[in-house]
Amino acid sequence: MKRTKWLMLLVVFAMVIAACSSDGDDETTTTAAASGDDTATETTAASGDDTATETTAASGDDMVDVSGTEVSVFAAPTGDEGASIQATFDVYNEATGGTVTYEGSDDFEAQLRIRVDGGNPPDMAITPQPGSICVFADAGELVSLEDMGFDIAALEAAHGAYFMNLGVCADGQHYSIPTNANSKSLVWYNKPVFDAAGYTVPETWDEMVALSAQMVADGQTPWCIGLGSDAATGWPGTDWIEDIMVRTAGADVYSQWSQHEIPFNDPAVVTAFDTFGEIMFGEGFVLGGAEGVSAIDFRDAPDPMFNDPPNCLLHRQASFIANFFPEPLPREDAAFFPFPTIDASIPPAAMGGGELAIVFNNRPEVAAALAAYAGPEYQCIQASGAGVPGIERISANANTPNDCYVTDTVKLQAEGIAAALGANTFVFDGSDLMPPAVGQGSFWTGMIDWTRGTSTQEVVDSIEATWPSS
Amino acid sequence: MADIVDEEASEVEKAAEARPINPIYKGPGPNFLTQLMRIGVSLAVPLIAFGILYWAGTVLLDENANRLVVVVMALIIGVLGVFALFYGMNWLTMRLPERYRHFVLPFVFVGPAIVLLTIFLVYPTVVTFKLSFQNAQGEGFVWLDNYIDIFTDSGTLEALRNSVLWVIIVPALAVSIGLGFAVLADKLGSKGEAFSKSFIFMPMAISFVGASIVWRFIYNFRPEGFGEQIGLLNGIWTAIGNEPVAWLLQEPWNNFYLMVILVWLQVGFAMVILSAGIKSVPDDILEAARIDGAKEFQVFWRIIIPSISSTLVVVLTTIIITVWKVFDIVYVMTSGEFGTSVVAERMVTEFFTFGNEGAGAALAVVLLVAITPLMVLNVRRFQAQEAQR
Repeated sequence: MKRTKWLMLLVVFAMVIAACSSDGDDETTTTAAASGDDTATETTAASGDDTATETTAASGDDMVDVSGTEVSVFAAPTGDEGASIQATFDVYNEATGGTVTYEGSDDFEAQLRIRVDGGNPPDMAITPQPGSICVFADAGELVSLEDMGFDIAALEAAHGAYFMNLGVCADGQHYSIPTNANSKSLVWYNKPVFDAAGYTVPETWDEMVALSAQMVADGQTPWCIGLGSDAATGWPGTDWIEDIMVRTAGADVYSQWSQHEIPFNDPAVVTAFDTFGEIMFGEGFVLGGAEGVSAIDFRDAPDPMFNDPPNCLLHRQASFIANFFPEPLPREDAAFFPFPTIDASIPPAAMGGGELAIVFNNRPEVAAALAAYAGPEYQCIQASGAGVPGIERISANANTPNDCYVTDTVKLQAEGIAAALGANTFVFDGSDLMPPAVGQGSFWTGMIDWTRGTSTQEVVDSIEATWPSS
Repeated sequence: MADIVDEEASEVEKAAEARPINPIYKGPGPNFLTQLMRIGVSLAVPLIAFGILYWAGTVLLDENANRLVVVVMALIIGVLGVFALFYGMNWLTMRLPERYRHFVLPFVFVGPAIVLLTIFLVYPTVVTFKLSFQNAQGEGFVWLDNYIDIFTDSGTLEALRNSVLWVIIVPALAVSIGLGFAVLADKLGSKGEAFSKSFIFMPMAISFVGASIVWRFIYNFRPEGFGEQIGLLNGIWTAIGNEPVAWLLQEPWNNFYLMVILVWLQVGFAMVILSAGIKSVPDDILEAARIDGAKEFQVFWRIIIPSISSTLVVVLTTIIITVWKVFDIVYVMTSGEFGTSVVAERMVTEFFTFGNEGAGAALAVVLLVAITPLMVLNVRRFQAQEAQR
């Protein structure tokens, strides 16, 4: 009797599990070209000549007739963002008569590896992980930009040498072109309160420190800083150091630092920490004091900025933090300014992430599609979302006009990124490029220890000691 | 594992009833063919089981299959399959001539367990040992470098120091509090005892991660400007007129705050086992002591404690082993920051987060070496206890 009961329970339980799991299907979505074939035939018939000239204009290369060809593009974005990428290529397809088909996957990194290992790579892939580019290139899977006939100097002018160098591999050739960028170098503030107090947006680091001191004199706590992030506690601090590092040492030293060509306890890094210390350890500068920042979750950190009256006025964080602001969203009273310059000799910089296009198959139509997509004309279409509402993708091409973007906040971010790309001061998040033992380990721990009173020299020495040898 | 052992036992009994094996078998001893058969039956059960599961997997994983059919089939194969397999093997063995049957039959039941243990326990242990002498990528041989790192690096030394503190403090507190409750509950009426014991025992039902999340709310801290204190401890602390405290950031006391969680979880276990031990102390000894004029305190120290000493050791060693392995609490509460890392937490971080396979394996070996003597002690005690009965 009892046994039957248990068995029944088991069956019911198993059935519930089965029912729950049945709809969790593969997440890969294919955004097929809306009417790929139709478009192709139409365009070829109607305006074959126009197409050719347009392609030439975009790539700056020899004339390539891509009508009737097919190119597959694989990347991570799905949903609306994925749809906007396909929409951008649809415009290209219509203009050229080619068929570029975009496919997005939530499991992009693993799927790409599987397809490449299986001998079935996409023609083009767009990866957010610079570290994976040379893994493919060194295995001989990628086609270099030199082999496809790209003008490297022109690309460096448009995308910044730092960004282009992320795709330079063992053989010294370039393998990637950036197609998208985002900046983490933003300082958020409560605009109504800020304006009412008569404060002005600081243009330099010194002005920002002076503004902080002024706020303290006015009886306000200037900064909200939170390093808490569960198992990743400490990372918001590393972003500060990176932002300061590129502005005090420049993109070249920054690049050497993230690749361990200079040691972590190099004087340049010490300078970056000490500069951050002007704010972190400024008397009354940080809400709760430097000691307490590790106890504040980064998602909660901006909240006091919107108290009435606010408990702090400034908060440095990437654009995503706007989603974590207290209700009602979007906050009308929130605004941001770019992280100010520190050393006058280094042009305004930006630190963040981005996506880089890599090519697996050496066919002229693939190179043409890449050249067009990375060029200002299609980057402008992509910037506005290509007709998909709510989507704006910031271009990684300095020549993309700023009026391509729709909203003011994105325009402001894009302006900073374009300027940094042109001046070669756009850098990737350095801790993401470091080995995990440092970038997800000792650098985070180091930031925690540093805010809790360990000296800068001790912190950088101990991080240097954990850098894996090999 | 325990279920299988039970099943095996009942199976053997059944088989013995059906066709008794002569206990004083006087025929020839085990020969080469017998040994071969022993290995054969030991391997046969896991191999057949694997084969069936592999076949079932290909059928059951078919996305288009009817879910209900899949579930029913999985249940039939999973629940009845094991039973049928052992029954079938037993039936086959019983067909053998008696001189083989006598030697082969035990291996039908013990053999598969040995084979599975070798695959899933012995083999990984050996590989872990090998890996601990290799570099971060698990290649080449760096010999003792990983161990030298463990005992020189300040991070792992801190983890070792904390683990030793955990191992001293948590079992001591859990056992003494558990023992106290067990003795006091024994003095209550049977209803009061059951009621109070079930309260103490309740945290045992909570997973380590679940308990840690509960305690995160107890230790929760909000700096000024981040709203009211929602943490229980800070609520009490501020109500009596103090400034709120970030409890988990208070080195070195935060280690102690984390240990409290494990004590809370383990006291119930210690109490239940020790309570059973106390109840097994014969009443006549206690009575004799009291008649001789012993005070309750003396009865406790001179009679109860010596009588339950073997139970105490088992409880103590079991808790010590649990404490050595503690990972979840530290990971959820502080993820090893603020000077709270422990060996098991370092092991996971080194191996999986940093991708340093050699260092992770070396830490695993350190843990194994620390736990092994306790395991041996525990098993010996247990055997001694069984022998007494």
